[in-house]
Amino acid sequence: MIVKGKNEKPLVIEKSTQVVCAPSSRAILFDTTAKTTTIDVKPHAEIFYISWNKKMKKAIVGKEATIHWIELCTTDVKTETILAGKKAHARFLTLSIGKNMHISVHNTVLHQAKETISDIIMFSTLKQSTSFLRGTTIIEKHASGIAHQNFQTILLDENSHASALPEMFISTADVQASHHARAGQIKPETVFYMMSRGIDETTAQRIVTQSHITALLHQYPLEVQHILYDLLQKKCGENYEH
Amino acid sequence: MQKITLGLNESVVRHISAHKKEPKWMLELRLQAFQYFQKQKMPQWGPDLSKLNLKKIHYFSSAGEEKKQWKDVPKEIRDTFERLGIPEAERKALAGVGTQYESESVYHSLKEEWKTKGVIFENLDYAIQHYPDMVKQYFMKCVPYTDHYFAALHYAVWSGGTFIYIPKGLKVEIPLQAYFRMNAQNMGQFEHTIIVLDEGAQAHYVEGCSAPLHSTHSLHAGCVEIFVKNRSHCKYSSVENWSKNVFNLNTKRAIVEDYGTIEWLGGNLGSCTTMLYPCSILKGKKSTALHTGVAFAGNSQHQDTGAKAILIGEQTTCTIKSKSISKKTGTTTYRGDVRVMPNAKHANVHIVCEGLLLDKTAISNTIPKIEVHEKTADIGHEATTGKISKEKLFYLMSRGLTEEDALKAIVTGFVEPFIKQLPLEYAVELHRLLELEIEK
Repeated sequence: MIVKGKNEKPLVIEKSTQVVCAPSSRAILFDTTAKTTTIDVKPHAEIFYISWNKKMKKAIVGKEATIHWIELCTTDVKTETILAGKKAHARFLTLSIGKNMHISVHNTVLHQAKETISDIIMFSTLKQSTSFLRGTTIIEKHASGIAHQNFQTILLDENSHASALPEMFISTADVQASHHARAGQIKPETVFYMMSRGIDETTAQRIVTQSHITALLHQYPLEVQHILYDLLQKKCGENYEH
Repeated sequence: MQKITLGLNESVVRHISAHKKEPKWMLELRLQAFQYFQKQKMPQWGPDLSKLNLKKIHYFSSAGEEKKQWKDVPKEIRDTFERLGIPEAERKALAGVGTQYESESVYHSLKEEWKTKGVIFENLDYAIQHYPDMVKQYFMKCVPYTDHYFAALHYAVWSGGTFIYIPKGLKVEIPLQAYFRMNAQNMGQFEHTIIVLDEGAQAHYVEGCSAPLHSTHSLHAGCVEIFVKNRSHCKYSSVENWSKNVFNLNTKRAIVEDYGTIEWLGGNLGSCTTMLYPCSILKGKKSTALHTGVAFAGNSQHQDTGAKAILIGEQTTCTIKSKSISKKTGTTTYRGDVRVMPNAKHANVHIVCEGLLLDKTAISNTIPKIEVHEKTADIGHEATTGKISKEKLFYLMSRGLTEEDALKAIVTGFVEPFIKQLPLEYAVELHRLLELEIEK
């Protein structure tokens, strides 16, 4: 599949597993296939890639191009991104609302060029679920840039288990790299306060979770936000209501 | 005295045990460990250990054989001693060529004072002969020989080390230092340290030496077992600066019971490859662990350090602070493994890693693993890596510092929170060692 020009409506990837985004193109890609997808983002292109329950994805990002990976309700995800061109940019957002499932996410980003930027954000809430969140950032020699990883896990009950492994391998000094991870429950005070105002516990938890998600989605353009909210409702249903 | 051949086999293990006139149970433990060791393989993760040839190591050399001359000590180490301003007698002792130095009597009188209060602070070999029941009660109870490859090797050939017992309720104010013992008897490269703090006791143990310890061996695989009983407080500080041909593969672990506290302070400068992850097992209710570590990797060094914590008890707290500096082709790695077990209610973990890269060829890695099996746990992790900002350098230089001095000021400022916690003489020496490393 070849993406050209500026596309306002989302494009659905149905069959092809090779996507080439022409220079200066802009598109929202919607992946429904179950195979490995490879995306070649040419210079100055901007891609929003949305998918769920997808095993493996790869991308090469060219000069001043941007790729936004957005994963929803995923159980098993693996992505590999190579920032090959100068000022290439990759943002990852993985939202998982786990209920009776095992979530395993591994996002890898490889900085090969100067002034490249990567930002890996993972957010998950766990109910009767386990999660293993892993991010790997590799900054090669002669590359430079900014790398960030941010993992947040909310444990909603006793039977949930969370593991996090935010790795960084940095082979040059010209970087600003940071990561932080948090795991815990929603503050009991917050839930108690809301309950004192007549909201039951499950709803209170849901409101807090939703506010987290809203804050994370806020960075995207409106049209992308709409798609994501729709999708969240469809896929997570009772766990998530906007 | 019989000289032991290179490499390791059962007769070497038996010889070590016989030479030390050890009780039978110890020989049996050694043999068990040796058998286990033979079945194991070198660990495949972490830094490259392919240069380490276990067949070319002397596993035991008693003090009598170590008659080296001052002039045999490598020039690099002699220079460092001189620049540190350590008195000559101490220099010789630290390099393993001297037999005694002036301050020995001072340490000796301190020892007498502790003794009257019931403190046991002895060489482990001596302790086995004189307090066999006590050693047997704690030996290998924290780190089993099945733990990993080098732990098995360690238990097969261990020699030297310290045994410390602090009786109930006693607070030892002065840091217990391992200096005097190393001087009296040349310490093995497989030393085993056991520290036992009985209920309500408090102690600070300082190990290693802040000056480079010259070593003809190329492997150091020590082991430290710490038992922190109810309401006791243990602080363990070590500054390790081995010569640049040493593989420093250490195992350190503490079991902390109710309301107990363990504090780990570690500085790693020397050695070609370090793998050191102090471990805290927070078993008791409201027990606390505090890990503070600084690592410096220069030319082609690999400092793979970190921390391990297993939180089992309720309301346990663990704080890990790690700082690393890499220069030239040096690699620093923070490798963490924190596990919050089920029913560790309200466990609290806070991890902070900071890395500083001094030039373009330096490498800094962070591999923090976190596992949470408890809903009420609160875990936070943050890490940053970066270079020294040009603005800071420029600012200091505009105030009249040379670039080198400005760099030194920034680096020492970076590790200041760590250095502050060390006893004064160690702090001064570490400070100067760091400056030396940057100069090189």
